[in-house]
Formats: sequence, structure tokens, C-alpha cells
Amino acid sequence: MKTHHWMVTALLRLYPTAWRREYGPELTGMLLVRPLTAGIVGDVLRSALWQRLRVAEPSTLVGLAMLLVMLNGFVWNIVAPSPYGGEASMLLQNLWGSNLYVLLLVGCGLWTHLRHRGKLDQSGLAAVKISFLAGIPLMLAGILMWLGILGVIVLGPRDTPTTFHEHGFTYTYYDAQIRSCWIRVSEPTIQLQAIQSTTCPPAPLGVMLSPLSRLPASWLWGALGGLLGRWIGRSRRRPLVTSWIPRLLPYWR
Amino acid sequence: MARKPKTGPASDPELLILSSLASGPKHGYAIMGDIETFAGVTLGPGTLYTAITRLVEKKLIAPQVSSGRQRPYKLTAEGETGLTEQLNDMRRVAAVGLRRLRPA
Repeated sequence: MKTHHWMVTALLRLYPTAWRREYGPELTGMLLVRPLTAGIVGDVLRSALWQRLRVAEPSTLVGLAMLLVMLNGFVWNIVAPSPYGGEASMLLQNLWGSNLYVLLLVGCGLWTHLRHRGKLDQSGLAAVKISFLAGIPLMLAGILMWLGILGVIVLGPRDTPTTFHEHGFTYTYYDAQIRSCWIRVSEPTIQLQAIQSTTCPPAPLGVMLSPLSRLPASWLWGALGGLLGRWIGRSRRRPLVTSWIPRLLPYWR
Repeated sequence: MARKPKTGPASDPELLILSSLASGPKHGYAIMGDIETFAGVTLGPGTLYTAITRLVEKKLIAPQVSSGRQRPYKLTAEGETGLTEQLNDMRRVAAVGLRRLRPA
């Protein structure tokens, strides 16, 4: 009985606070008098998710969608990496620099402004939230690389990707640039040697921090969206024809 | 336990709740039991309260004051009109469908 009560309380916690305040006692009463079957738990979970989505901010929804897209791309990259130049894989790797992503941030800034009519700061913060959520898989990858759990293979334009069977839990990083890096050598007197290579894997700390370094730029794109929203709001309030005709009349005469 | 039909008007929880409240105010548990009796559909508690939330927001039903945990809901005038229109539409469609199904 105690477990049942605990489970009902836990299920109710999944609903938004405002909803819980309004309907929580009724739903609790209903769940307490019947056995919690898998069907009922699933039904309540689905309903709680729906209520959460209804009250969620646009930035949370877009951010969570981006997180899922990135996570999906990350998993597919490990399980079945595509050849160098594959559009989806290149887009996911260079997401933060893509025009599509910038448009998404501007769009979310605009959406947030039109919804709340708030300050530009609010639109900027919405874009920052999206970038942070989208960056979670990359930060996680950085941590796994740092811990030595996730390996990295650098794939150049002419290289063939390896299969999961061959590389195991390894991320395929697409890179065509020749860069300087340090490699470990077997010579006891020199432990690290500088080389120029296309096969330099990205540093774990760099991977971990790279999403955070994009946050200020995201803020700017979101604020720009907010500015656009403000401009749209003003032009809606002021009818275009009636505001311009009186100004043009003296010239016409 | 009755199975929830996948399609058809009997699968719309909002319509079922409105139909249940047409006979008078009821609380969540009573609505659930009533729907099970007249439509043979068992609504999950989550589905029931999601539909109730939507109906309250649309002002088709209204919660009433109660002292206990269970709060009764009643059909508003708007809800009554909406339900009547919806059921009349359904009756028209059903009549046409049944007429066409009848052998000439």
C-alpha cells in the first residue's frame, strides 16, 4: 500500500505544478482506489507528457527536439558512420555554423517575442537554451572521450568509414583540414611529438566546451529574432497604407 | 475490461464526457463508470483528466464546489449547445450511411 501511494505521488509529480494544483487531488483519489496496471501508468505518463508540452516554452520544445536530433545523429555516427561528405552527418557535425541553425535560433527568438511581448533579452535567452540543450550530446561525448570510454576516428575525404564491428564504441569525426597535434611515441626520452596530420582527433576538453562557446552567438541570433518580432508587432499596430498616404500626398500635388 | 475502440465517435473522450454529463453533474470517477456503462469504453485516468482539462478550458464544462477530494463537473450552456450540434451532425451522417447501406 505504501509503494502504491509512493508511485501515485511520483506519477503526479510529472504533471506541471499549475495543473497539479487544479486537478491533482482528484487524479490522486482516482489512482489510489484502483490497481496501478502498466496500462494505467502508461496512460498517466502520456497525459503528463502532453500537459508538460502544452505549457512548455517554444525554446524548450525546439531545444528538446534538437537534443533528440543530435542524440540520434550521435548514435548513428557510432553504429553506422556514413562516408565522408554525407549531408546529414556533416550538417550535424557543423550544426552551430550552419545557416539552418541560425535561422532556427532567429525563428525561436521571434516566436518567443510574439508569444510574450517581452524584452529582447528573453528572446536571446530562449536561443541560448536551445543551443545548450542541443549541445548536451556533444558535451556528453566530450566527457566520454575524456574518461577514455569513447574513442575517436578522424575520417578524411578519401577515407572509407569503418563499421561498428571494426571500431566498437568510437565516434567518427569528419575532418579534411591538416592541423598540428601532439602524438605519443614509444621513445622513452620524448613522450610527445608534434606532427602535421589530417588524423588528429579533437581534444576532449575542446569537444566538451565547444557548445558552451557558441552560447553568446546564440544569444545574439535570438535577440535578432526578438527585434524582428518587435518590428512585426509595430507594423501590425500601424496600418501601412494610412501611415504612408498622407506623407506622399504633398509630392503628388 | 472493455477495450477502447480505435476509431469512430465512441473513441473521442471529450464527446463521451459531454454525453455523460448531459444527465447531470458528476465527478471524475462517476464519469468514468458511466462511460463504461453506456459506451463500453474504459477511459484511462490520464486520458479522462486530459479531456476534462480541455473541456474546462473551452468552457464546455465547469467544475463545481465540493468539500471532498472529488470535484463534480457540470455541462455549461455552451457545452449543451455544442453537444447537441455534434450529436445532430453525427445522427445525420449515420442516417445517410445506414440508408446507403440498405439494399435497394
